[in-house]
Amino acid sequence: MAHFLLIYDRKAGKLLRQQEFETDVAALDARFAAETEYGVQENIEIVAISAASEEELMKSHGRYFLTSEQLGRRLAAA
Amino acid sequence: MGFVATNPTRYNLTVPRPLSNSALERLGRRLVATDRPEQSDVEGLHVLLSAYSPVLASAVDAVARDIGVVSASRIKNTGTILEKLRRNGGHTLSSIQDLAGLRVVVDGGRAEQDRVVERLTATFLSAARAPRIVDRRARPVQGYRAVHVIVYPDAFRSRSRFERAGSTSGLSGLSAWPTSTGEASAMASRRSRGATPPSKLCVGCSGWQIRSQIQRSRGPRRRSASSRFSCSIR
Repeated sequence: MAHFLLIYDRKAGKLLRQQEFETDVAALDARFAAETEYGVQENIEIVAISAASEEELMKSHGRYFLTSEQLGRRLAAA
Repeated sequence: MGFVATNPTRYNLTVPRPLSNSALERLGRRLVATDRPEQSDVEGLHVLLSAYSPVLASAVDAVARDIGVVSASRIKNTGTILEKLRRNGGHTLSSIQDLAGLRVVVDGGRAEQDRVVERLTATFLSAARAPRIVDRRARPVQGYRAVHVIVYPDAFRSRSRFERAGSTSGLSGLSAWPTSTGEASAMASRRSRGATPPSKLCVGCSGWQIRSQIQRSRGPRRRSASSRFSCSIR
């Protein structure tokens, strides 16, 4: 199991930070710390997600990694 | 103070209950009283969210054990929680059902998706309350297609949601918060006054539809016309 912190700029559609942690608790703590660092901003999404692997994370939460065009193609193929 | 799940052999949980419902309501109101919430209130929210972590981990383990799927899981992000509270006038922190959730992506057609939903339901059938299913494949909302399985682990209410995954044409599950499966709508209104914090376990959705939300009236007992429950996969 892999545990990730993702910081995503919703307005820019850009992933600002991706960091992996050993445990879900560590990832969640890092998320809370990042919220203190960034503050609560409408356009900044700070999430801690656990997944089987980075590949699975990209499969389940592709919106953080793919462009809108890529996401559109993914949906069309579904 | 903590409490032990009524079925600890299955869930092996001793989960702290950090806040009463009334305290949750007050915290929710304070969080959205100003544009920038006080740090102490954000930290209070963190305490609440941290309590869901072991519930979510247990749900992920249960799904992996019984269904053979390692799901993606998350605790709802703070920004989305605040957005939801603002839409509801800051009165429904205790009613948000997807504070925790997991997502299962299933490669396969509807038959396979249905099979996974059945197995997920069976996994949580012995919980404090029977799972509930909301199938957004049949009735999409704003393009959102997914199956939500709202489950109620013994210690927390929680909701599980199954959503279709983008290119994989399968189910994805996101959840792990206190108990529930299914549609966002119904859950919110009812559990808001329950004794335990809200949680939800979700499975299945299209990755790119994550921004989609389900918004429904809270029913005849809603406080006002603007009092609506909305569900976001974020």
